[in-house]
Amino acid sequence: MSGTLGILVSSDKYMDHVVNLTQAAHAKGKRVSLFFTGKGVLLTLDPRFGELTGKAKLSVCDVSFRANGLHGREAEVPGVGFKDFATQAKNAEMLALLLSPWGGTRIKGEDLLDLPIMLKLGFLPVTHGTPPYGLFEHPPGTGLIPPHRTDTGAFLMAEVLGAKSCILVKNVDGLFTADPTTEPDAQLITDITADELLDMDMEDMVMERKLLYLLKDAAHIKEVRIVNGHERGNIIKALNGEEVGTIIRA
Amino acid sequence: MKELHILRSEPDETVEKLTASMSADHTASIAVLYEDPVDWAALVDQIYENDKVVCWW
Repeated sequence: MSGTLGILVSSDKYMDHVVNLTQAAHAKGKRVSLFFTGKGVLLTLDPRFGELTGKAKLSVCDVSFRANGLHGREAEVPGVGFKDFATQAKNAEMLALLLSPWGGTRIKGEDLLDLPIMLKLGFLPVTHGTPPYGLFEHPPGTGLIPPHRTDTGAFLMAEVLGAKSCILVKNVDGLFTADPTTEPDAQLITDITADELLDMDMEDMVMERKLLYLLKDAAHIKEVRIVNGHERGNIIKALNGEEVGTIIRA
Repeated sequence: MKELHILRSEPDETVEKLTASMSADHTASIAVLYEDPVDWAALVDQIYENDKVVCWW
């Protein structure tokens, strides 16, 4: 097992737990990697946050930081540099670590063109889905959340690489006519076009609306499938082209 | 498979049901963080001794 203890902090309630566990692991010679996301980013301004520096690698979800109204206060967070505001990159790092027994390998944007050879060699490449915003980020029409996020990023990577298909693995069975958690009559949509979906003008969708506009004009990817990753076998079915979840066509 | 459930706060009925259901067919242990004192060093050992760790709210 890896000597790294990865901790995802998504709550702002348990700073003492985070500090105590980090200190205990550090004392035992373990490497500790902490990623603060969701409400957990509020802990970055907790007076005890400084106790983590030097004992753990610290990263903060940039999108959550902004969504919680902290934009502009990055410099106040001790032990976290500009590059450590990592958004989804940290998730990719943790996922690659968990998948390492099966060839999971963390790759970055500059490695994307090496994907074919990595797959040929049996690697399981893991990258973050958020498009690279190092130089420029499309500003959102309203609010602080960028419109191009992981769904769009995954689609763009598949399109640029000329991939056979693009499958989005979610925690729901697919796209519904309404939110199935609050609307019991919501129906699963199994097959729909991007135009039909845009015409429905749904308030909330399981994937980013921006993806639909890109799909309409894509050169390689002509369909995107959404499957529930919590059901064993769904990804294999999707890879085999079987009917599962929702398929959205250009 | 050895599984560790870490409870950060006192479990409600849902968490109790879920932990029992997830642990039904293999060895599972529970670490409680809401009662003092917590042996943090022992918790680190427990995390590394288990194949899977689930941390509850």
